[in-house]
Amino acid sequence: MPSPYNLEVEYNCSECRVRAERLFCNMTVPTVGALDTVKFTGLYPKGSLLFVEGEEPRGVFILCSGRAKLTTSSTEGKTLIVKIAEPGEVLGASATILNKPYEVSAETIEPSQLNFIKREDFMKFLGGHPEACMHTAQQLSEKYHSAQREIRSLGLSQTTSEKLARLLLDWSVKSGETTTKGVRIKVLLTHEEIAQMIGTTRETVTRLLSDFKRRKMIDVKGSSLFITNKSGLENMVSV
Amino acid sequence: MTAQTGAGTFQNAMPFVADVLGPLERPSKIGAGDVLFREGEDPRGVYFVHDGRFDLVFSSRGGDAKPLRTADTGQILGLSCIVSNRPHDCSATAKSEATVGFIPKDEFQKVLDANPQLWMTVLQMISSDIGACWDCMRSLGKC
Repeated sequence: MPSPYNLEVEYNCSECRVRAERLFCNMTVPTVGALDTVKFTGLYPKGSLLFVEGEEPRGVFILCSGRAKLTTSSTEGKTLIVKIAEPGEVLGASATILNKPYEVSAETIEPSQLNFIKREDFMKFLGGHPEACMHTAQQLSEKYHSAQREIRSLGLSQTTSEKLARLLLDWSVKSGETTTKGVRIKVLLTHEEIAQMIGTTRETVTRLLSDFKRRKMIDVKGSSLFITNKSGLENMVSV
Repeated sequence: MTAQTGAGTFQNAMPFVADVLGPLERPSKIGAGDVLFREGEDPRGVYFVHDGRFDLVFSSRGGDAKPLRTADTGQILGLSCIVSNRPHDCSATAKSEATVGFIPKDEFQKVLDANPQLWMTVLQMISSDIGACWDCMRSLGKC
């Protein structure tokens, strides 16, 4: 029987084949066994809102497959994407641990499998398994360093084109595929969302991508973006 | 050096945290403008800011350096670098005279191994740091 959204679903963390590759999930069998008893597996279509900024923390979501955007809003209602979460990340952990409202919103940007753990269960799980605390701390530290990296880019980039060039280079390192045309990136975000990642407008992103294309630094075919002149983009980045 | 009380800081942690970590801290006075650690250095340990404020300074490849965040009394500097075993991703410079308690990396790791309850404080501190980063991004992104 086909699985919903064509996802390869893993209901049992103990039997997960990619567990060893994941920072949080790569724990010993007894600890993962304990995790299995408190988590609820869910499959979500693209565009599912997992939690909302300002909402009391209900618990954490472990992103098993798919991706999610973490966003924050100003009082004027402008949106900034602070992170694109990748498989293996634990979402909502900092708010859950501090028992403070979620500081960001999380929304899937592709069909995703997530394991949800209620706050009380997650805190008990951490309290009973120092190993889980250590893995959660490592996961949170990665999130912290990723945020610091974004701060560096937002605060030190001289121009918006530099920010966009750096974003494309980051994507090429994370998920780029080398082809004869250059490094291929599958772009799942709209121009509006790319603008929200670098703190600019949709119009500016569209204009800059056209400019990069005209200067033969990139090429775009549907949802695929090819970096055809990597050194050209690298020369634009000072951060 | 014993921990004081405060909100959302290591000083607000459970009393046993101060009991366990306090005796290990090497107190020192830091002069205004002094650098606690530099971007790119391997972390030597953790710094408990008991008094004062630090600029967290980020540098570009071109040599530009800007203070983009600050760390205040009650924060622990260098914690996430120790946990993830990464070099410092910014420099910390005292804005005014400051008092910090330093615990070397090996000792901190040993005390964590011996007192797993301390992990909860580590988690809370890193979670607070993430919140501070997102606040900073909101302001830098002109969000």
